[in-house]
Amino acid sequence: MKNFLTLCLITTFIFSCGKLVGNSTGANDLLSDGLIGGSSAISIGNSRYIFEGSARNSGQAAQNYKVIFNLNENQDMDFYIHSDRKLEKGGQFHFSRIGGEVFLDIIINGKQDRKKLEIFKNTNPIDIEIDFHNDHTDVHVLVWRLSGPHEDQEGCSFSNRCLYNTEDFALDVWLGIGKAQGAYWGMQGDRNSILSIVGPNLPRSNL
Amino acid sequence: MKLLFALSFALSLNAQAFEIKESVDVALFEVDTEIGKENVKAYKGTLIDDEVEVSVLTENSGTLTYGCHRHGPQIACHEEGHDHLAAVLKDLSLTTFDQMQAGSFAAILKFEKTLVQRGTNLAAISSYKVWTTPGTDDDDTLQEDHVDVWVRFDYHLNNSDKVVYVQCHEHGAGNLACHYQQTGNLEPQF
Repeated sequence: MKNFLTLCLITTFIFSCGKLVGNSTGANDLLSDGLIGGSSAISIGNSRYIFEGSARNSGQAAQNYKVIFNLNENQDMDFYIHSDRKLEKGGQFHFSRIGGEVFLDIIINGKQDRKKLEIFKNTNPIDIEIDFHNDHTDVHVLVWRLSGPHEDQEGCSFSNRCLYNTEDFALDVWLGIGKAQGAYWGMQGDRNSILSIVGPNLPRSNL
Repeated sequence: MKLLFALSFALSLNAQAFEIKESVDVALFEVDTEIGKENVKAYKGTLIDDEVEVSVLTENSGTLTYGCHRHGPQIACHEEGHDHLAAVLKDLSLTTFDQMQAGSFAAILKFEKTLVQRGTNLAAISSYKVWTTPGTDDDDTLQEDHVDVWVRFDYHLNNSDKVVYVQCHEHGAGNLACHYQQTGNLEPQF
């Protein structure tokens, strides 16, 4: 009888403890909302998620990010890099598809530029690699197709050896952009559209 | 400011920028022969009519002035008198001078690409100035073994006068990276 009571107590304890973790307590909401594209993420509401990990040196560093996602007609997807916990600062990369064409809007510190990514017309998935150099006076951004090519020289935006190089548009848009203020990264959009997302890693380019 | 060097070329809108640079290079060769280029603190080239006047400041503020003009296929520079103070010249890093030359050349090539992309060329430049500041690494930490090279371009584009700065510095061993900037750090006025 004594052994039976002991077994009951142990069993009760195990099952009780089992109920102290997971969705029933909200613990998972604080720790993680699971994986998005293979990366652990936290929901901050309104289809916004912060991914695990932060940029080096409190965000004052050059980092690399990679993402593969599907983007359907009239769908939007936003990625935030070197941002704050609310994903309101830093670099915003807004992707949209209109009439089969994919547009990338880059928004940093109130400055903005748009590039049509012709290579992704009527094409899914979209594979993107971003170098975000936030280690000097002004942010320097390089955007490539993940599968390449990965040129980082002046003019690569025009030769299609990269998708976008902020240096190519410094005189038009980005002069005096300053640094991004933040170390977090995240996204806003349909999490199920993300096939893979990885970051922050060391930059591909050393420019 | 210890490592401050400066170079300023004044060009007319339609001048050949590299001809001005050639004049400066010839003058600097003369200076190197006289006192050694490692003692050059600053230099400035100015287009005056058909001649380029090149002024060179040494570490002790002595000034050498050259008038440079074309003799057939070659540029010739003649010393026009100077207040060279022939004092003890402080040894500066030869590497610093070389970095300034390399950085300014990289900046010019970069800006040329940008101008060509906009349907013009180096003739859009009205003047440019080059100087250096203590170098920084990828995390903006001061590095004593190299300098940042700054270039200010005054240029004319789309019917307006504009200014842009280029900062060139090392990113990793031997890799020179140049970026556009809105302002210049420790820009010398002369």
